[in-house]
Amino acid sequence: MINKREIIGKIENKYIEEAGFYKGKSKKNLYAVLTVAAAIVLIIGVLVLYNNGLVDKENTRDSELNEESNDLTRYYNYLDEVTGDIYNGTQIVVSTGRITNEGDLERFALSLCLKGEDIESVRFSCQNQYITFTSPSCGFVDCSLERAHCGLECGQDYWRMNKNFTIYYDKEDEYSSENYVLTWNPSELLNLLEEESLNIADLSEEQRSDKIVMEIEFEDGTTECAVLNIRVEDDGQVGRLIEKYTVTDADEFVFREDGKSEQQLLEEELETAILCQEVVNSGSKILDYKQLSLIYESAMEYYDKIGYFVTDMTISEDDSTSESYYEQYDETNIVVIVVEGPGMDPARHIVVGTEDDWNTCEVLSEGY
Amino acid sequence: MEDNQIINLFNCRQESAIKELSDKYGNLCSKIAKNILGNSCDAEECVNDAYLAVWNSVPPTQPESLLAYVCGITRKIAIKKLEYNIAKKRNNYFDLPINELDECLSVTKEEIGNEHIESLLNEFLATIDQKSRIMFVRRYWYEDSISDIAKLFKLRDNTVSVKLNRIRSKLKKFLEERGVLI
Repeated sequence: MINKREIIGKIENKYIEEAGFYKGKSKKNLYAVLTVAAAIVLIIGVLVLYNNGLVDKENTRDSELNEESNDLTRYYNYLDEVTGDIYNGTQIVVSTGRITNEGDLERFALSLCLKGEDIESVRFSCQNQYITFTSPSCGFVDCSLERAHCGLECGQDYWRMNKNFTIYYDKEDEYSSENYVLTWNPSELLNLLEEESLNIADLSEEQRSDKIVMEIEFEDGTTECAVLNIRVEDDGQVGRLIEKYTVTDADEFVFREDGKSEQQLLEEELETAILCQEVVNSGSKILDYKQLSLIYESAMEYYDKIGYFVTDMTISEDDSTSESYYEQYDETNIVVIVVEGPGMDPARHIVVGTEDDWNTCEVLSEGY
Repeated sequence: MEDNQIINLFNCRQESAIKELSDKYGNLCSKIAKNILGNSCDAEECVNDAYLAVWNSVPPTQPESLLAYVCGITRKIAIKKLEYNIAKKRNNYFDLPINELDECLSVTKEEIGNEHIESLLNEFLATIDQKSRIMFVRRYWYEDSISDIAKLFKLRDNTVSVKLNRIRSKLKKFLEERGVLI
């Protein structure tokens, strides 16, 4: 007989530590604030020393930097070689890792911090691979090399993995807005290495290279554009070059529509799945998509309030009981929905009715 | 205080080691015990037992991760206490989080031992993204409630449930592909 608790109890210490040390946004503490302040001071100091750092300098310390290390000083030495100052008060700090021929990441591929007090928004466009955005909204700071992300963490409301998106800097949250972080996800490149057993040297220029265009809009309405050119070398080292950029008609990837946040995608996916099923199973009732959406929203709002997680909703064919119970409703203005989800065994039922031909509706009853 | 300094205090048999340990990880240990047992009184007793167990075992043990060590001991003691309470019908608190794993851990082939599944579970955790991994560990190792996880990640309860559901499905698929699940 399998013992689930015993198996879960054998989760490795590193994962237990990772989850145990994880702090939410509300846990902003003095340590985190001071660490961020120290990091900003260090970055600014580094920028002063390297004020011509727009172009990535020849990295003479690569062999040293490829070693795993938690040495904070070395980390900032590393940052100073890849820092670009593209506008007054706006800095881009890039940190890179290495990709193996087996398609694994050593540390991470590429992480980018974009800092600027006057930034209104930044639109990111990635030509070939994917980009993920995080904000340090949880206030957790970790400057170790192993954790990547320039030492910044999470930000689920902003988390995305896409090719194009716009980030609006949150003026209400001075802590987050100065430290947004972008991560390059070369998933297509990794798939080529892992699944098609290719080596990095076998890849074409297009497969091993990428561009991230950053269209920055400032509070005063002025704009600035920069590009981060990325190329994976034969030895797996991720090379990068930051420079000012002018978008042309040839840059089709910049004109793609913005992607959606993970939260949006998740909610839409659930809604679409449920609505599609409802349309199929709506029986003799003639309900259009708008009406079904209204019913869906009312029901979801109800279950949200009472804390149930819904995985499936189907309009019941048999609603005669409810119709006789609610005499003022006829069969066209009342629906009974069968609802399923964890803890709903047997399935629950929710009765939704309308008095104005489905312009509005309300939950009439709910139960098994 | 750093973990190695606290361990040094234990090595030198300084009683202040317990206080430092409690200051640093006491809240987390209490939360784990309370998540499992459902009441503060039993939870406090477990945490104190865990401190005593650390005192008795360090030295000779020199834990690599003090957090994982003390939290692991707390968890084991709390589970034992829960089993005792259930056996004596002193507690009807139902261990819900762990039961959510029924779909992906229960129907395994007989000849496959726990050790193999443990190793595959860690392998699986390495393949998922950090946020999902933290959510999974907080839910099933720390036994946090859905609401607590939602607060931690600034998400709605429903979203956390969906995410955990997806992680469990991935785990199930992962184990099926490796011939562990029937």
